[in-house]
Amino acid sequence: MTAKDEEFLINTSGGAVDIDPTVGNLFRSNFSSKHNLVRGLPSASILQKIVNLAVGGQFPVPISRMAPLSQGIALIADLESGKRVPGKAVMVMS
Amino acid sequence: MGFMKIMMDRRFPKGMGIDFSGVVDAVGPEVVGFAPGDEVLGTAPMKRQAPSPRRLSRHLILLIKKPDALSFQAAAALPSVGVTAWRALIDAAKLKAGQTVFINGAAGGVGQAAIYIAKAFGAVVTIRVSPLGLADAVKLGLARVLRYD
Repeated sequence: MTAKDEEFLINTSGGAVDIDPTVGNLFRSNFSSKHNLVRGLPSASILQKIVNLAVGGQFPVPISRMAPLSQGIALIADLESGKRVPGKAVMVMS
Repeated sequence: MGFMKIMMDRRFPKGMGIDFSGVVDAVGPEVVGFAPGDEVLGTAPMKRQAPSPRRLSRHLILLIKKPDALSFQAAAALPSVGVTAWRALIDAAKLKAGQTVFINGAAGGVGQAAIYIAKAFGAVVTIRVSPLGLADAVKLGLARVLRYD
């Protein structure tokens, strides 16, 4: 999403959240009164809520690719080469 | 490392991934709440990412017990995407039931997590995905799906 799109959402819909830690976003958070920098620190209580949603069937875990450790290098090479997958890739240690 | 280099240590070698699941092998004298044999999931610090060794002995920043109903594979896919999406929607955006949320780039891990969290909170969800992600998005039964093109 472009900065212009975000500005539109902020002005018309109440707010926008961008999770990409780009230099542009950091710059805007420092020099614009409309932008705030929020640190999304890990939290055990939040993770527990996510787990509860998953167990309750409300959070289908987004795994799109699973590979054994023996194929881990190929999996990482694919991701590094830009072959993005919809969801998470999981390496199984066996 | 692209734009994430702001958050990551630039030194190499570096592993990939920060989330994991597994079984507690041993605990130190200052560890409370966990015992050998406990099934757990968690995440390692982003700057020290590399949960791929068979044993993690330190530098953990987040660890909780894994319920039996959740597989190890599913548990390992939850932490970073789930907590990131929760932080964005619930903590930062203060999402409430009945509100409308637009999720841009919803086919990825965080995007999908955001969909599920928003729906669980009773929000009306509209997403934008690439044509490749469209089929999966439609299956989710969302209110409205937009394509990038």
